[in-house]
Amino acid sequence: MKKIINFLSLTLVETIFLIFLLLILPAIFINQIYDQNDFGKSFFIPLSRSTIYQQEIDLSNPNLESISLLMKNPNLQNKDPIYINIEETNGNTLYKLSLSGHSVEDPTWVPLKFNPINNKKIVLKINSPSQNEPFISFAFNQKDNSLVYQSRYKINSFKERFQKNLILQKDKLSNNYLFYSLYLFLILSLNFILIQSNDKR
Amino acid sequence: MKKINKIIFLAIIIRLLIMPFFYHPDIKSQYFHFQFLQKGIFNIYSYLDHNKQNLPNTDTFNYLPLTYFTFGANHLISQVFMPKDYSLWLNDWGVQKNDYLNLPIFLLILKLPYLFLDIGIAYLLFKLFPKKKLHSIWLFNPVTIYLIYILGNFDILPSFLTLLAFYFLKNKKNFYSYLSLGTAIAIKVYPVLFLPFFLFYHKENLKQKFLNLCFLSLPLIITVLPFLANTYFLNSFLGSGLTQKILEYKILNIPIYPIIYIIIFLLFLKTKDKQKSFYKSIFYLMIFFFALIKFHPQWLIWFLPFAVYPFCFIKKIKIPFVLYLLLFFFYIFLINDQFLNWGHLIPINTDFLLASTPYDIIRYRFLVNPLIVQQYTQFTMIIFSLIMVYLYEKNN
Repeated sequence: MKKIINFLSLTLVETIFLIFLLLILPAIFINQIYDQNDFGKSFFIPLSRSTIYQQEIDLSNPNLESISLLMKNPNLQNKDPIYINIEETNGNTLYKLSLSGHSVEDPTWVPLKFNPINNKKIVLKINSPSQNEPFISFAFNQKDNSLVYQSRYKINSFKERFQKNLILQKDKLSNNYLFYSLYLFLILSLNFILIQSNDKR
Repeated sequence: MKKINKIIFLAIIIRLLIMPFFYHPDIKSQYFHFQFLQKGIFNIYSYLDHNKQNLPNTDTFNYLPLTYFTFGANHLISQVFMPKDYSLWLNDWGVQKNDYLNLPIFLLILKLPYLFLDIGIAYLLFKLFPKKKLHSIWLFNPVTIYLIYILGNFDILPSFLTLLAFYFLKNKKNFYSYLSLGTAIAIKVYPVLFLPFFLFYHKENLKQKFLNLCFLSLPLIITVLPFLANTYFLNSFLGSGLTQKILEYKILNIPIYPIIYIIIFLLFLKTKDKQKSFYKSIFYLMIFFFALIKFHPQWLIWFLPFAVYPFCFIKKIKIPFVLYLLLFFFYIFLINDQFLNWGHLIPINTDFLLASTPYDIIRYRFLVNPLIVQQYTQFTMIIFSLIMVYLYEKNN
């Protein structure tokens, strides 16, 4: 009986550890969802006075709170402002943002942060009055000539974060059920051997 | 012996619970290079240089040839147990590089050799001190688990070989001792730091010392000599920079660590009880090393098997040493590298990369430059080192 209790206690401690590691910890600390439009291979186009970049973005989740753009400021020379408008598809402006060439490195991801947006689609418009070369450049995907960007969505409640992570872990488990079964079997076998060796003493 | 078995089983269980779920990109970049042995590439240095344009990762291979052959062979064996997308993962350095469902399996299999070496170190500590609990301290402290299974670096192999060399040295088996130390040096150069202490451990005449150096050189001659004329090897290897880091901190243009090293060595030469003095010297080398050098966290494993002895026997240094280690970790967490923080947990969820790091928090919330905090941390580590030296000497 003592052996069974010891075995179950050890297994319980391990289960609690795994639940904490796989389910609780991500739910506490991951409060954002990440998405991106980056296919790896990109090219840069300079943003001169005559240019306006426009990109329609489908939002994969609610609560979009930041978009990062991949930019390049050759030799950190350009200090001119860049204006970014975030609009609804019907043309209503949601946010007007601006940044200075000072904050753009060679190259760097420049984050644009704002209060959460819950639309399903937004339009990003970028322009600059800059007349000084070298102009600041923006990265575009070679695959479809779309703007390279990363987006982050806020997840508000612990419950929501827990549920999202749970879905991911279930997905991982179902894709690797053989590995995880063998893994658990190995741990349980070692528990069993450990308890047996305990008892012999 | 039964008690040892019990301890080892418990240690293995703890390690198995950690191994699949923690990641550091070093393991991937190292195995990216090791995989080329399977393709019949003998000279990895030239191959990488000639194929720079076509490879998904353009890093040079900064390790010695024996490292490549040893872990290349391990790659060949472990590949048999790997899922199909292992090779895809190794060669994927694009935006999806971390997003593999089988990542925990890759990590578990790649870290298995480290588990044997880790248990091997515990066994050697048990053989060196049968009646003491050094092996338990080795097996059940979070620092070794962090260094071996979270950072997942292969430094555990030279670390094991160095302790094995000391075990043979203590038992007066010079040939095996120096062969083992030479093999460790042929994998990673750092055990050279310990060589003078090995050479003067026993009272021996010059002829024997020369013989010892010959035994030591054997693995190096066999594995390094064929590459010495190769410029790609020299360029890659000399770019790794431990020597530069050791010489970095200077007062009046004099590098401090080499001076401290010489003082520690001279004190070692002076003492009669070489065994106790050996542990003390390595301990001193370690505490000043991390207090005076811009270190990589995995380097701690080089010294740690020898630090268990003073930690266990010199009671007065226990508390300052624990505080010193806390400062060591504080320094690491201030490095601007997601993969030394939450990034370790990406096998569980890749979105851990979005969590704020201590670096971000200090920089953007408290508006303090983390590099300055790091400097203060290292300065405090110097103070703790001096306190530990005082307490150690007082104890002696």
